[in-house]
Amino acid sequence: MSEALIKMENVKKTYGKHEVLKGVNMQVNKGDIYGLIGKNGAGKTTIFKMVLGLSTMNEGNVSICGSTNEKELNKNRNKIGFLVGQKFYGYLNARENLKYYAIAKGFHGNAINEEIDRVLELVNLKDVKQPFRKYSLGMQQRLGIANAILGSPEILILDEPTNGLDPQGIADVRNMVHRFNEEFGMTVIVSSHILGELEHTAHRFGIVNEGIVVREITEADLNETEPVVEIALSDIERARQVLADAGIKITREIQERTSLEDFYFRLIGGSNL
Amino acid sequence: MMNLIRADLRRVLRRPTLYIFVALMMIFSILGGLSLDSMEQMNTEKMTTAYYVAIMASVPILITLYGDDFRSGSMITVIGRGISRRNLLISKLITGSILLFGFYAFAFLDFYILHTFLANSHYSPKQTALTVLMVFLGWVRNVALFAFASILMYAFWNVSAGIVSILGLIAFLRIILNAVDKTGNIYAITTDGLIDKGYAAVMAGQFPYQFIIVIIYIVLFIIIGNLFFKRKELDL
Repeated sequence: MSEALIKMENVKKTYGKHEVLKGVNMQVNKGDIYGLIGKNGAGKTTIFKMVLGLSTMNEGNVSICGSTNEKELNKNRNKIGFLVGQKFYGYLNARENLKYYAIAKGFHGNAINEEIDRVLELVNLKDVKQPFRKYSLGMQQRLGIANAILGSPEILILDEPTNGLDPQGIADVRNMVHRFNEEFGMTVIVSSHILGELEHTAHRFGIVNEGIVVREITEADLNETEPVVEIALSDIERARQVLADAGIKITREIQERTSLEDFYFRLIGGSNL
Repeated sequence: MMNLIRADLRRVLRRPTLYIFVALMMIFSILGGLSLDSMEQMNTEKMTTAYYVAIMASVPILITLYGDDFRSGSMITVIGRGISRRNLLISKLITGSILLFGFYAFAFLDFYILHTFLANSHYSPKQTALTVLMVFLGWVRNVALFAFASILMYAFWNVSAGIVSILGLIAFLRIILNAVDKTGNIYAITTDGLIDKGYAAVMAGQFPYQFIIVIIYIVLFIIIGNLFFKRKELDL
């Protein structure tokens, strides 16, 4: 059985009268690249806030690396790196910003610069000298990722890491996520509302809608094939029968893989994320 | 906690804001010091010095230590990485106190050197010791102000609340209390009042138990600040 690094059980969160999380159950296992999918306002960011201890839950349990009590949760949060917006000082450059977080994380002496060199190299920001406030969105995201992987955390949380990025930037993030997972053994949780992109990044998916994880699926679920007849009928057997009765011969049936997007919309309904 | 203090000190000391205020403090001190011509005037200036150092030190420290963090959201990253809110609050206060100590030490040296060499005044060892005590108490008072201000800053997640409260307390507390409380009973239980009484006790050769109450106040402010901070929903 897979080792659960992050587990949420019946987590509920209410802001005033608005119930944002209505009993979230989800499990992220060691080695996963777990994609959290949902439209804006579905509750993805609130789920991350619960995991990171930035928000208190009204009910339920969050466990990180098997711990549920507050003291141990805080200790285990040190094993998490995360990208949630750009939390940097505008007047400091990439290196100085990372130095702040590296020292706060407990790096000393030469190890500080060695670690910063390593992560800046990975995100291709090593030679950037200007202050953070002058960075493009892509650079800001890359620095955010560099900060998230500082100290090689066991778990990496990336909230909408491709937001506002151009196609090359999106591809870069995808490659980085795969590299962190495969080379460094990090378990990654990545949220996005760009389903096509997430489909190429993650191995497991949690579909969030209106404050609950309505279903957790794997790549295997997406690989289940189904016959598609390009005809304006939903009942295939009946379509075949109708066509056969009409003397129309079916020469070819195309077997198409269900896209994550198709799966999502079939489950949730609607078409606009 | 120590790591965060190290990181904050290193970051804040790179901000020019602090040095601008140190320079301003020195200019004011020189302008004031050169006009001194008597010991009596100098003693009056000691009191004024304590107030203006409080203002000149508090504003840049709050802006750089807290304001930059609220603006950048770096506190959120630190909490998300497992530093408890209580430890964060305490480490910020310790960092602020260290920076304040630097300001007060500088103000003392500035004041002492200026008066010894420029105004050609002479300090006896006793006067020097009392001046050191006065500067030290000014620092303690300022730490208490920071602890109080942190309640408002964490409650409103805004540095302005802290700056306004500190400036308000420095500038208006005594004036308001004088107007509403002729007996001085309320002032006597404020941090300022307790420090004044403690100083008087030292001068009279008595044990200044009032300072213990000031420390209790600081601990209470930290506890209340933590209660607000713990309930604060942090946005990403």
